[in-house]
Amino acid sequence: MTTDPVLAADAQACAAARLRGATQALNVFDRRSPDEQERACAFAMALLAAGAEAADWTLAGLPQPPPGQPGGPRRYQPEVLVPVSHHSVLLLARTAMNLHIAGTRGNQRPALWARLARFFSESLPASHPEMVRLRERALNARRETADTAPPVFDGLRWVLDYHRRQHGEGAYLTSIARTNLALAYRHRRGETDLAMVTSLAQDEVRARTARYGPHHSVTLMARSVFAQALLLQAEESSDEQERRQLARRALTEVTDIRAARDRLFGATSPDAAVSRRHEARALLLLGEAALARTSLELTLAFETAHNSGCETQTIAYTHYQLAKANRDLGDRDRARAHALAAVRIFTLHSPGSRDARLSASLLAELGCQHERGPQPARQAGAAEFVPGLPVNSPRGKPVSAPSGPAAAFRCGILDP
Amino acid sequence: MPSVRQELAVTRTARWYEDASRAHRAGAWTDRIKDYAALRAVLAGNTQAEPSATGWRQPPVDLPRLLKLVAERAHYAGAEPVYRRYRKEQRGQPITRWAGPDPAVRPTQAFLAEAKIAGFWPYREGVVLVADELDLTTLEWAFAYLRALAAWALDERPLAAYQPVSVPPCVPEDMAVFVACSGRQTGGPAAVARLTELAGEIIRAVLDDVSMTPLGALNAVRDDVRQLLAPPAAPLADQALRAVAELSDRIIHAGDGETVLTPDQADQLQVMLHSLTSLLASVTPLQRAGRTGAPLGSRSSVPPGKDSGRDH
Repeated sequence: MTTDPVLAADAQACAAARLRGATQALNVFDRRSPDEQERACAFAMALLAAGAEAADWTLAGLPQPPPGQPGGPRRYQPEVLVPVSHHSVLLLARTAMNLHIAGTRGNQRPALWARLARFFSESLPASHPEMVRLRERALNARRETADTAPPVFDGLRWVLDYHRRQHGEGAYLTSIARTNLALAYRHRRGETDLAMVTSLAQDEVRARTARYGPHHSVTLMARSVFAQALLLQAEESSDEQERRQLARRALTEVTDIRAARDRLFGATSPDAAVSRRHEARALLLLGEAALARTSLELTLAFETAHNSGCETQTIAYTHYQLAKANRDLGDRDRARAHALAAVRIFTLHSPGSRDARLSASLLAELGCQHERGPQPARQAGAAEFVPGLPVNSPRGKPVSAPSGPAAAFRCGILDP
Repeated sequence: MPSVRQELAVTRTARWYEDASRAHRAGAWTDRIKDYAALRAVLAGNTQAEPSATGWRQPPVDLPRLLKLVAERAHYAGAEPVYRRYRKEQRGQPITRWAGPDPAVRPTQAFLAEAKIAGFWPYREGVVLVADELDLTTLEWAFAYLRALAAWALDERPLAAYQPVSVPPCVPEDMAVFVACSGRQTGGPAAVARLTELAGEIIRAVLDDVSMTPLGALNAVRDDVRQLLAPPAAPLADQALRAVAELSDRIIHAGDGETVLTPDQADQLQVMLHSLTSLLASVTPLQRAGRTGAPLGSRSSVPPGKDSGRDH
């Protein structure tokens, strides 16, 4: 260990930079399956244990670093440890959390992000830019579970103002914050919310297209929100002609987005799957139920392959749409099976959510009641979630229930 | 195909860095570390972000008599000890400059090149650290590397913005490794040049918007990088034919207790194959000729998936 302050500072900077580089490489795993993400998370934890000053990471909602091999960095013996208050440590922990939550249920994630933010608030001021972004992530985790409570809106508005003040109206992070707010409005669907989503999304699409081009992933995100707004408008319209016009416009838009996402991230990526589902929604509105069903079956196959069989919440949306497509085609057995799968998975991830309620009412419409109705996840067959226990630990491994229509029949809930 | 990990360890810059920073030359390397630290301090005191049409940006940096400023900041009596390390005559130097003896490379340029390499190197090491333990495809290696490059530019914005704004000089060599390991058969040099250009675009994206993230910067070039490095895929239909043949064979010849696929997978495959049959009906010549009277090989008028192809 050197006593020269310049060399000591350099050693510290190099150690932090190594963590930064490793963090970027670990982020590449965010498009892998939940199992692979879990493995990458274990490595991230080992790196935190080896490269950062000692801390109890379970307090941050993260899993325990694995004891030695396997999973640990073989040759990593840094000259100095990086303090927990250094932004490189925060960013590595944030990446670890991103990887960790891939194997958790949607309704567990907000609490995990909140714990991570609380953990770093002990060592970093609230005004630190990375702390702001961490709180923003925690808010978005709530938004992703369709939490539309006033504190979520207040928080997202505050974050948007913060980025405006710090970086400018057209800056990248301002733009992301604006889209996140639009998504929150979409979830709430109050009287003027749909108009607000459309307006915010349209502004974003214009700004991002001018700045990054129409097929940059950030532009695609804004375009996707705009397309969803069109779909929502179409679904809520009572005028048949307007409904078809909106649906056709949405279909053109989402098909272009899906093709771009296929190219950028691969046809089996979660991004492309979302767009495929939107295409199917538009097709359903246009009365093309057979095409919609084909598209959704592909989506389900891709999602199942991507998630290595884990039932993530996104799969429930596909089942829900498949139930509608099969219902429209008169195949009520399959419709019921998919509706049941949707109810079961939503119940696992976000019981009581709007989507869980919609699926349950579709199931009822199809003449079938879910045996238990939406229940807290642990009552629906998932492993018990113990606060403070990493949910991916052997005790907490979730989402392993049998899946697919066949499983629904085997559960004995449906009349085959 | 060569391994990315092994090839990155033996690039010209990797060998120079390894040699220069080796323990027995610690004194000479320490002098360089102090030069780079002094440069960072000089840049930090002389540069700041400025507003642009969309937000805040880092303007280009170009300081007159840079090496003199660095020598002053490093508390040398004069600039000579610093100049000596980076000028073209390298006789007697324990570490020869990265730029080599080319007289066209002025001491300031040689110094900046090394400062960028030394600054970026630990980020590069971080990527290697992960790739050592977790499998990455060549394309993922490149994505990880370019994200790390963006992170370096974010953390060392003034150095990244120093005129002429360019990537650390190790980048073209590393891009050549990615191209060589991608299985690309032709157009290698052009692909390396294009990838280096894209790396430069990542740096500029970070400098043009102080709120840019490594992911945002990478996403701006992701499509181009993918096209340059993605392995040539076998035609999808060939892959599907092979997979279906293999699956059929394994189901027929499954050993005792062997599970080739789960009931759920079987169910899902049945559903997919059912839909696929409808789609195939619209492109199968016999079907098409029978239905429309069109000659074999002409385009079907039946939209995929729309008709009752599942009757067959």
